[in-house]
Amino acid sequence: MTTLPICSLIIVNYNGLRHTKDCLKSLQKLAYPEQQLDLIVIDNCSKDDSVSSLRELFPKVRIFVNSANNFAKALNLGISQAKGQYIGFLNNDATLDSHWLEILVKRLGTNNKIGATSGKLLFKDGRINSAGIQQLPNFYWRDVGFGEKDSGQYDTEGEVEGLCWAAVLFRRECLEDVGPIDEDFVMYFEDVEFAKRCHKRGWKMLYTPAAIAHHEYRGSSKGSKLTEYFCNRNRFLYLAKHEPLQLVSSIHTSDFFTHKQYDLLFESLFVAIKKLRDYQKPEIIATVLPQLSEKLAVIYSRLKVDRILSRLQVVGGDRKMSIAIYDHGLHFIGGGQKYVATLASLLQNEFDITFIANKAVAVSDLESWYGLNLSRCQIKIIPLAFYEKRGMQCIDSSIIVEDMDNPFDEIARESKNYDIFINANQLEKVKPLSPISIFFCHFPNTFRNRHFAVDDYTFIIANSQFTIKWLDKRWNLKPTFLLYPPVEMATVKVPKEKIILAVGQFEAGGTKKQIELIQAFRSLLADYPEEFQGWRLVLVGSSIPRNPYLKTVQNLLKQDSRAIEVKVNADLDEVKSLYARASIFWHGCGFGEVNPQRFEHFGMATVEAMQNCCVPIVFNGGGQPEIVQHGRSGFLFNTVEELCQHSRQLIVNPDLLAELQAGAQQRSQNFRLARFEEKVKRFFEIIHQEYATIRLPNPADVAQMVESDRDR
Amino acid sequence: MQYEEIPTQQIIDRLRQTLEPRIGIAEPSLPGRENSAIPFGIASLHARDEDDEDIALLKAGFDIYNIPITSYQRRLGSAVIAVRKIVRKLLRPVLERQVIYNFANTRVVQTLSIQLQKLQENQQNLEKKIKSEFSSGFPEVTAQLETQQNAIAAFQSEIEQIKVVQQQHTAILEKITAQLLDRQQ
Repeated sequence: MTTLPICSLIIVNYNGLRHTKDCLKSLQKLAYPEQQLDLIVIDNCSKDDSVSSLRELFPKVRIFVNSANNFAKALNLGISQAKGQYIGFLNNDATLDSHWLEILVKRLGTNNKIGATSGKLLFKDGRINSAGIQQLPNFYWRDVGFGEKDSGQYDTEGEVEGLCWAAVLFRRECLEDVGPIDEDFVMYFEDVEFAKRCHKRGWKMLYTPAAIAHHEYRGSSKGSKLTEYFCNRNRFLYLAKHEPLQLVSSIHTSDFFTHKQYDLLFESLFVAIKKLRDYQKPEIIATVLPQLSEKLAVIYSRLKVDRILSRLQVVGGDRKMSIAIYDHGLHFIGGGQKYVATLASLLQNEFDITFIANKAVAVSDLESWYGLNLSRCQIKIIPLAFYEKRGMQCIDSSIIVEDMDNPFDEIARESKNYDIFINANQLEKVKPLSPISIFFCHFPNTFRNRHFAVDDYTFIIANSQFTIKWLDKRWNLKPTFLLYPPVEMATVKVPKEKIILAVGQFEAGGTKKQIELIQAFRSLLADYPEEFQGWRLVLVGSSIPRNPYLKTVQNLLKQDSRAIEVKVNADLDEVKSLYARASIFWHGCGFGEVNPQRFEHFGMATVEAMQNCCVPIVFNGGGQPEIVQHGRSGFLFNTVEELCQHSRQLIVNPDLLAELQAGAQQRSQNFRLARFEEKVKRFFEIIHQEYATIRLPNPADVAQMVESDRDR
Repeated sequence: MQYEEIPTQQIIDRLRQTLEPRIGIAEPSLPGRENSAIPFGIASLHARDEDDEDIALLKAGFDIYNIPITSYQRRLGSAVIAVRKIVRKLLRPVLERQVIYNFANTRVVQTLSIQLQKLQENQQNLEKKIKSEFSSGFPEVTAQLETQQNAIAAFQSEIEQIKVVQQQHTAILEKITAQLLDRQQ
């Protein structure tokens, strides 16, 4: 007996303590030297107490825990740990007659061409479970003799197409030669696929009826629905791998199709196409894929079929994920545009990025406007006929009212050419047709209307808590997360001067409240001439030509321009210099307004000032209270009187000014590029990970799914 | 603060739901869904009573800017529409302010309505609770109350009977008085 070789027997367990215990007990009774037996249990992440109980009850059995609930993967793990010259697979609900192993070992010893052998597998009631496996028409497989009374009709030894893996013994050389078991199969049909590969490599499969094993019918995997699911799914995988030309014709004979389980059919074919692409020659793929695509387009939509084919290119590593960033205002310089341009600059190495604009603008423009490197990004201009016809420079979606056609359908059609579509500037009328879509909301400017499409986006990202509040109020929507705009405006430190700085566009509607700020400063000069001796108010901002609001500001200063300067369209260096020298920053946007649209939705200029140690005194509304902590990193005002009072407080108390300057600078670090970058990269990493990976079904989840389907 | 952290699991779940959906067969149509165009899912809102109808009307009609402009005049139709559109454009700042005001009103009314409904429900629940607690917690009191109520009912019925007798007596008295007067005459 001691001359017998070492045999490793691998048993996979999943929440099956009772069965595994019985199985191991039957192995203890084998007529085989104990020291030549290498018993291995692979636990598939059981949720019961299997592992600790088995370790206690069977200390000599080697137990390993698999990283996933995957039968095929468990077997591969077992094989990698096995020490034996022969390696057997046993279902945990199988028990062996005492001579099973001895008979099979001896039989394998007689012929080196036999890669594997198994005996007669019987049910507990004596009926036959399997005497080998064979192919049926329509590419399904069955156990030979299944359910038949055992009357000796399968007592003849012989070669078979395949063997049932409930109890099977392999020659190590065969397993090593054929390669690992295909883990994409998860469970069921992996034996069929492996047998096919064995035959291709010239190994024989032998049925040895003298070796008897018993099997409890579906003791290890609950219910026939689970079996049906995996057998049907894996049938497609098998065909894609070994009989690709049959794949298309196998769809109509699939149980998924005949039972109208189109979702399951879709998921299975998705993986099958991946297999096809992974294993077949280009000419086979070129023949099968168009046929398959045509057939699927009849069942599903062309859009869905195109989506999976496109996604598989990413899964297969043929190309990077593509992102389209649509901004209808990309041809203007603006904070929102800088926000997404920064995002593109951070992602351009990992993704193929295309900006979509409606008006002429070049990547080089974006680079120079925002000081970014966007060399890997592209731009595509799609003029919108509706606005072109009217010669409109500004793409204003609010003029599209109920009774009009949606001019943004053109952008929607373009969106389906990308894996991810980003609607960067909250244009609510663009319906996304890409697999993944992201709606960046800087503020919900409109109300729900006929063309409203924001509900269709996969994710919504908001730029401030203020925007989040209104997103809920106006659209009844919640964002996925908050992403504050990145602000990087810190300059060299220079001595601070007696400057109160206000930075904001001279917007035609006067939302930045420059006039109110001038009046406040004048009242301070009048009330406290000594204290404000030497102090200046500098108003900086961009403006369009012939701006009536700017004209009003300038007229106001004509009367009395003492200590007040207006700098229109100043260049970046000058703005930086002013930030560096100014001691106090004023911002009045939102003051006296009822319309939330006219509030500062975040307040990038405030952060820029704080990064340069200017103490902000800003209106207590919109996104500003999220930036400035009243009394710690600046002040929030509700009235002009409060603005004046806080300003005087700082001017007469240099210690407080210094303290708040430090506080402002510290607080501003929360809104720097590093934080933005970290969030952006993390978010897109998750998206890429999920999109470029095909998840294998977890049998436990599938069981639950089929169970709930049955209940329905 | 809420929404500051990246909700990794939520994102993964959403992606899985989107990328591996239990899909149907129909292709999404390009034009926006009709229902999504109506604020607060008004289409699914069944007006239970007149109040609900009014709230539904508020929700549907608060946006006085985005309304279809039509004219049924045969000859001047297009000119009338053009003029109306120009007027609307001119009045845009005012109308926008009104829309915001209307929207805020609608939200307030809706919130109050929901709160009122909740309060009514709470009140009903409390009444039920009090009744059940009272009857189960103090059976002897309930029994006494019932006895008293029965006694009161019996007493009331006696009073009624007395009243009837009284009325009969009064009638007889009146009759006698009348007869006496007749005799005196």
